[in-house]
Parts: sequence; structure tokens; C-alpha cells
Amino acid sequence: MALTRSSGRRRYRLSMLVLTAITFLTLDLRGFGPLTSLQQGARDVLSPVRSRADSVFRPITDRIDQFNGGDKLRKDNAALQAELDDLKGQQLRDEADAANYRKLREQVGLQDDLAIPQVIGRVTYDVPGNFAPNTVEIDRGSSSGLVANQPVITKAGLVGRIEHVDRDRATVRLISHPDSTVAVYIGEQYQMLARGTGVTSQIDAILSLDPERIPRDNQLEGDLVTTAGGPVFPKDIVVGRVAKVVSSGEQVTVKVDLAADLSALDFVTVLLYKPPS
Amino acid sequence: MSTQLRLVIVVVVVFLLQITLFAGLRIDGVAPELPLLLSILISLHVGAERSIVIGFVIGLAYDLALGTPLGLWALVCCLASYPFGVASANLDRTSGTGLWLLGGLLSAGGIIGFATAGAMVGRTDLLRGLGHIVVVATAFNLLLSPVVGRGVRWAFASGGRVRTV
Repeated sequence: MALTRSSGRRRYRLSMLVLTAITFLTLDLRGFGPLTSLQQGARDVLSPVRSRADSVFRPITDRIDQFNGGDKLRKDNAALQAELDDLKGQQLRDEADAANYRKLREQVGLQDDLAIPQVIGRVTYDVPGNFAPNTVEIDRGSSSGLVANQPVITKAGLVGRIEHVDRDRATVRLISHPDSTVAVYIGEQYQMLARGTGVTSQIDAILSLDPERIPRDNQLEGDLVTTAGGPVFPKDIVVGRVAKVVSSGEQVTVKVDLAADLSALDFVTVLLYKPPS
Repeated sequence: MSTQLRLVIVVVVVFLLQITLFAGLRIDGVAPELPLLLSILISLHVGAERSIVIGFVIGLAYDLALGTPLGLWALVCCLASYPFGVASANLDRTSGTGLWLLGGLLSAGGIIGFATAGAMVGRTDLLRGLGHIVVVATAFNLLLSPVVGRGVRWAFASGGRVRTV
């Protein structure tokens, strides 16, 4: 008898807790303000603890990474050195091109889209847990002027956009995230909508206003891919280069190799971009 | 030091390790799910009635820290600790290895439950790469289970079982 009563009480308590969890879940998914503030507050409280812990644990995780990939690091280092030499030459040519480009834009009276206030942030660590892939955290937040949806770039190209912001920390949704989309120009002629694939090195441009015009052979291979402008991303940010064009029936998919190395981000630049109204 | 205070210390330490050390220390890109493991292991000592409340609180704290849909980990940790809690009276006869494997099984079930429940409320992105996450995170949890288990045993050391059922 006592056992039945206790098991009934147990089930009652379990049902109450499940209902409470479902209520929280429903309110949260409906964007109930106080819960969002509560989560933000909790992360703000934990933020200094995590920063301290990061400085303590970083050497340990770095050492383990080094141990896991020491050989790979040496090879990467040699390849990077060769790449660096190439890039030094390229940089000089680019600087000359950029100066000419700026002069030309001034002459025709175009606003410089990239003259946007910027904040540099450091990628602190991976987002804890296993269910936030293709996102990273940076050590800048609302106290530095960051708000949701601002574009994030590196010198190489587009990285993603700010997903949510706490006081001293922000989460960046990488462009490789399967829910990330960006309007792009491919080879200055074709405007398409690109979507992340979950792979940090590549995205797919899939939708075009005028799909018949997209060449289905590999004519586009190697063409530059830049942002087409819009409510989140300003125009002309480098996204990457066309890797190949895959066509299947009516559908044309342009595979784009990302310019920024999303798997090894260290410092990133947040553009405090306000889209034109 | 009271059992409750020691339990709070263990929960806080494990929780902080999860969101700090194991944010960076991963196996093949996957971190353990220590709050889930902790909820399961605690249920061995306190029985079902209290373990579901403790699991709920641990899960809710994890949701708050991670920014996952609030209530999702709370629901999973609460439900995952229930079977162990209910069966804990009979588990004395089960071998250590059996308990260890059972804990792993519940960990795997909890992770699958989390992603599935998330997908049911519209977060289908939680299902991506789920198989890989389940296998590696469960293995990671099994690996760390003796250490976390030792912490939990320390918390309940003097009082033994703090059972209400």
C-alpha cells in the first residue's frame, strides 16, 4: 500500500516536472522576453568564470591538440610558409588595386560600403556542448556595440553573422551553418542565394533568379564569389571562389570554396553594419 | 560538511568542467555530456523522487549556460535519471560493470532524447551528425564515469543512501 502511494507520488512529481519543462520550452521558443533575459543573465554571470577557466585550461587543450596533430602541424607549417611568400607578393598587387578602386569609386561618387565601424574580437573557445556546431564564441559583446545579425569577417573573407549577444561575449553563426544564407554574386554576373552545408570549407549557391543563365559546365570554376548586399551583409565582401558547378535536372548547384578558414579562426572583425533603410 | 553541501560542490565542479575544460577538450569534435551523466549517477544514491528534481535543476542550469531551448536539457536529465532512481533499490545486486554500461546506455538515450525532443519543437538542426555525437559522447561519458562516480560517492559518503522512497 505504502509502495503504491510512494510510486504514485513519484509519478505525480515527474509529471509536474515534465510539464514545467514543456512550459519553459514553449515560452522560450515563442521568444518570451523574461526567459531570454534570464538565459542572457546566466551567461553574463558565467562569462568571467569561463574567461578565467579558459586561461587555465587553454594550455592543457593546446598541448593535447599539439600531441594529437604534431606531425600535421609541421606539414601545415611548411605549406603555410610557402603560401605566405606567395601572399606577400599578392598583397602588394592588391594594395595597388585597392587604391585604384577607391579613387575610381570617389570619382563616380559611390559610397564605400566597407567604411563601416569595426570591432575586432578574439575567438575564445568552441561553444560548450555538442549541439551548436558551426558556431563560435568571441570575446566582444553588447558592451562593444555588437547586436544580433552583424556580419563577421576576417581579412580573407566572410565568416558569418552574430547570432546572439551577451554583455562581453557573442556567438557567431558561421556561414557554413546549414541555416546560414547569403546572397552572392558569382563572377560579377550571376546573383544566387548560397547556403551553408555544415562543412566548414564549402558552401553551396543553389538558388538563382535566372537559373537558365548559369553555365552548367565548369566555366565558372575559380571565379570570385562576393556578397550581393542585403539586410545582413553589405556588398562586396569576399566569400570565396567557385570550386565546381554541379547540375542535376533543373537544379544548378555552385560549390563555393570559402576564402576564410573557418576551422582555424583566431581573430575576427565584426562590422557594425546598419543596412540602408 | 553536510551531504547536501558536498553534492552542491560536486554539481558545481562538474558543471564548470563541462562548460570550460570540455568546451575545448573534445574527442573528434565531440564533448562529453557530464551534466547528463551526473544526473544519472546521482539517481543511484537518492532514489527516483529526489533524483528527478536534482536532474531537472542540473538540466535547467545547463540550458541556461548553453543557450539551448530552455527546458530541453531539464526534461532530458529529469527523465534519464528516473529509471536508475526507480531501480536503484535493486541495483545493489548488479555488478559495477553492469551499472557502468547501464549508465552509458542511459547517456546515449538521453542524448538521442535531447535531439529528438528538440527536433519535435522545430530545432531539426539538433539532429545533424547525431549518430556521431551519440557514439563519441557516450564513450566519453563512459570514460569519465568512474571519476564523476567517485565524486558522487564522496558527496554521499558519510550518510550513505539519502533515500526518501
